[in-house]
Amino acid sequence: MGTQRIKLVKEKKPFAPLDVIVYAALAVLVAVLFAVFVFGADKTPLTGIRFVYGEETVFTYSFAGGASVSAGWEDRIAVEEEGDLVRVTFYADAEKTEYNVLAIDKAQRMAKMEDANCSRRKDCMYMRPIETVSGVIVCVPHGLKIMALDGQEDFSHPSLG
Amino acid sequence: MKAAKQGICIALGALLAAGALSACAPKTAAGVNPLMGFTSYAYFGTSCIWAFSPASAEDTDAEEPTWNALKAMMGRTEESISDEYEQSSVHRFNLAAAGEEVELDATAYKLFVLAQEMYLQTEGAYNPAVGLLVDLWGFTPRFKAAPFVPELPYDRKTSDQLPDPVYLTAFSAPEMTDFSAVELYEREGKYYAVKPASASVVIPDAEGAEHTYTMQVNFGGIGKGYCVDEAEAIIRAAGHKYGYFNLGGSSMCMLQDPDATDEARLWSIDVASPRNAVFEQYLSVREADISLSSSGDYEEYYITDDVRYCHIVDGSTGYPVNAAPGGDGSGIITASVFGLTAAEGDATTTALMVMGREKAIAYITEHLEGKDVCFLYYDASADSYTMYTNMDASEYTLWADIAVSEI
Repeated sequence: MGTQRIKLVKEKKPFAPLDVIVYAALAVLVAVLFAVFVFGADKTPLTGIRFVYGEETVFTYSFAGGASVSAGWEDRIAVEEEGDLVRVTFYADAEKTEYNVLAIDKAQRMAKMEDANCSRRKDCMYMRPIETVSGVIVCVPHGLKIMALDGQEDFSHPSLG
Repeated sequence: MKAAKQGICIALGALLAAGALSACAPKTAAGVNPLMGFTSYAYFGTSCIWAFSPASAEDTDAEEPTWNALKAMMGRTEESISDEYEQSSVHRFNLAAAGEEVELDATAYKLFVLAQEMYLQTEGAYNPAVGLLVDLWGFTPRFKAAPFVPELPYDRKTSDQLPDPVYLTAFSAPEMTDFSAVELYEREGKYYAVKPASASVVIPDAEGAEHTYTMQVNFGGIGKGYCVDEAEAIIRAAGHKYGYFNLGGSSMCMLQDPDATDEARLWSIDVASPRNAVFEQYLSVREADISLSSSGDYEEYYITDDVRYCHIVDGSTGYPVNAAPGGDGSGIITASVFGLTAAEGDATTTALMVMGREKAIAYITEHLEGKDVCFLYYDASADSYTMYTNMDASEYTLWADIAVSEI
């Protein structure tokens, strides 16, 4: 009985035309899902930027809706617009001696730390510009974190050192 | 044809199932909620991350009390051991005259005792009594101010100058850095440290006015490790099994990875490269339910006349590691230990860097059996890097194209 079934299978074509279409469709589906989940998230374009100080969002900038300073932070955050460039100055102290200046390029949809007096090394000025929802710029001395408006921190990849 | 129909049905079924699953709250491989986290930059001048799987994906505020307990613990510890706080035990010890008894709070006392144990075990390679030297080389928090204004007699006027050799010699003298000579004791429920009577030196400034300097301690590294150990206790007591706590990037405790599919739910942990761009790693290790520590010459440093001066100072020479005159810049540039307490690990990785390659290998063989250790050695004459480790090759992934030497 078993031998007969094997013979029958062997006599059939290994792939009927419709089978091939189904397998090809499944392969495309797998490839698309892989691309979306692996590469898609990181390339999601920016919709805006937010400043997080301590655990509070103190400023947001939306490419669609513009700038918004959170209540109580009006004296510590200044916004200047010049063409496609938006400069946001954040003062880390009430005396306005400690500052960070973020430059947001509306045309390029990216943001980079342009100036800061946080420390002699000014590490935050050398961090990668924020261009996708996963981008983050941190100024540790000032306790300021700048991230995408829709960005969520990824805690799934711990790093030592 | 029948097979094709079956295939279509299976594919549609799978898509429907995937859609139904995605409509529900997603769960991790461990069947718990996905990781979320809290971040703070308010303690020890660095970042702190607590990542966890919340009991309820809808009510993450429920984790706030644990986060508040962690922040309170870090605040208390910093107020106890940071020289920046005028009332801290460490600040009072540093200001004390040679021979003076100083009352310590319980946290500071625990750290003094642990630090002394580590000082003795590493034969002085880990030495918290390099506080004056760390300040002389410009690695205490006051030097991070911009613009920096020199205020002490030994402060350099320009950043390209090296410390005055008079101070370098005086501050690295054995009596100024012998941490084993600090007396520690408990009396009637209170804790005390006595600064060694000989740990004092008088140096005239440029105008001839005499200044007395005494031994100073710096618990920067080990203090963060202590916080990580305390944090682990708080997190586990709150019932957490998944996530991690990271203070400053160099001290971490790992619980389990809720996304891991293996039984131990091991994390893949990236170890930062000491010479590449920020956030790049040279190594990944797989660990869970363990504490990790790392030290390196890349965390805080400056380069003058092609010599890298980092924040890890060798008390026996007075110089930052790998920067003493006569050397060519070769040495251990980063070291990591997995499996000690975080506080012990912080002291140990610092000590390994100070020891240098041969002593470090001997120390790992003698004292760190059963613990995973690795360090990167830079050979300046060949401009090459070698990773030394006692780990089995199956326990790590090396991302950098460098040689490996087994210990």
